[in-house]
Parts: sequence; C-alpha cells; structure tokens
Amino acid sequence: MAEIALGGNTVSINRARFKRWIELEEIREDIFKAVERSDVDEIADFILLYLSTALNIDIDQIVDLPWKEVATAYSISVLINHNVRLLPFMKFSKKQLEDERDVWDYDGRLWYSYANKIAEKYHWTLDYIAELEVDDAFAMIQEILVSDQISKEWEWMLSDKSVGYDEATKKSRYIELPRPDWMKPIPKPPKKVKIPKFMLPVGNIVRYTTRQDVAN
Amino acid sequence: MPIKDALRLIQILAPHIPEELDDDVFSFAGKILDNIVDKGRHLDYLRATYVVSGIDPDDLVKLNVEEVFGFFAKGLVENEILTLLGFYQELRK
Repeated sequence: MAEIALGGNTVSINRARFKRWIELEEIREDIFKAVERSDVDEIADFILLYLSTALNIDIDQIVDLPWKEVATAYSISVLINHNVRLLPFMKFSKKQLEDERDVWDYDGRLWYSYANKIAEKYHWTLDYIAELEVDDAFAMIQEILVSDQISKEWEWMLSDKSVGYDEATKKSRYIELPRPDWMKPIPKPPKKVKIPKFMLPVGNIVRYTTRQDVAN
Repeated sequence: MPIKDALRLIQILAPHIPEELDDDVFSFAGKILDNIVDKGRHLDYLRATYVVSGIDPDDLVKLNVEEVFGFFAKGLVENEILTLLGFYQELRK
C-alpha cells in the first residue's frame, strides 16, 4: 500500500484484486498501443482511465489536475500493481503473442475467460472470484491448467490415437499428447566431459582459427 | 498543466531537447529554440508556446520576440520540462 497526494487530498493505493487487476492490465496494453501510434491524446486518456480504475475515483476528478501529480500517481499505481509473481503459464511464446485474435474474442474477455476456468473448477461466484488476491488467482489457474492437461493425457493414453507404428523397428510405439511450451522441461546445458591428459595431443600445438588458415 | 496538454507539449519538444543539460533555464530554453530553428520547424515553437500559454498562434505572431520567448521559457520552467521528458521516455520504453 502507498499514499499519494492527489488534488489536495491524500489517497491510498492498494494492489487491485483479481478482476480490477485484469482491467488495469488491459488498460496498460491500450497505453502501450497508443504509445506505439504516438497518439498522445489517447495515451493521456488511458493514463487517466488507469488511474481512475486503480483508485476507484471518477475521471472528472483527475482530468484537470497538474500533470506531475497524475504522472506520479500513475507510476506508483503501476509499480504496486505490476509486481506479481510470474508463473510459468504466463510466459507466452513469440508465436502466441503474434497470433491474431480469435474471431469470438471481445474486449474484456480475459476476465471472463479466467473467471470461467475458476468458477468451473471451484464453483465460486463471480463476485468472490473478482475479489481474489492476484497471486492466488493465477496460482489456481495454473493448477487448473496442469490438472486439465494431465486428464487429457490420461484420456489420450486410452485412445487408439496414442499408438503409432514405427516403420524402422516394425513395432508399435506410444505417441505422446503434446504439452504446452510452459509445461515442457527446461533443457539442461550439455555435460562437460574431461579428456584424460594422455589423450591430448603432444608437441607444439598450432591453432587454426579460420578455414583460410587451414588452407594455407 | 493537465496531463493531456503536458504530453502534447513534450511530443512537440522531445526531438528538440538537447542532450546536455543547462542549469540556466533561459539558456536551456534558448538551446531548444536554436534546435527548432536549425531544423526549420518554426511551427513547433509556436505550437509549444500556444500549449504552455494558451495564446492563439495568430496572436502570438503579433507579439514581440522577447515576449513570446518569455512565455515559452516560463512554460518550460513551470512544467518541469526535464521531468516531463523523463516520464514521456519512461512511457515509450
């Protein structure tokens, strides 16, 4: 929590709960898009919208305040709300980020999509889900995704699609259900192998750095 | 100055703000003006002065040069142009 001076009053800024936090992140994305277009009027509108959403106050109350008060309040709000635990499922691949929006997508769908996942699993009300702590909500969503994947893998294993025929060995082989990128193991660096001293070359060693050196 | 006007101002002036800072405000404002003139972007000067003073560009051109520069420099000081530039650059990161 932080306290800031805004329009002659002291206002407390707390980290937003789940639903409001998602709204704030969507507004931040709108700010980034407006920055890319260099549309300063839109940037200012979205900063005011972000602040009014984060502080739960009317835009009219802040629209005419000095820019420095607004900018400071915005920076502090972003700092407080942006600092969440980054879970593996939040790391999108480049391809996912570049993908076009689904045709059934709409503004504000992210909240409904997450709320749907949590409500489906835990049968909580939307009001209850909206007030969850952000870190708790995302940890639950990741657990739901992991559990869904494990269930799908079990069903896949029982289906005939999981068995293929290997031409080389003339045997059947198990075909795994692909996992999302964030569930795949992180590749380890290759193990360093020590070469025994007696296997190393002896005498004057001339090192070639380029193909041209070798040719000469 | 409200945030919308402040961002309009810094968008106009950002390309003209010198990299080296100057303690003397009028000298710093002068360097910004020099950069504007060097690039032949005289309209930017009028637009920036209009944003900080609220005086219409048609009326600004009727005033004497020192008076217009006074509005310009005062506007930069009052609106902490360098802090504003820092905020604008932070947004663009």
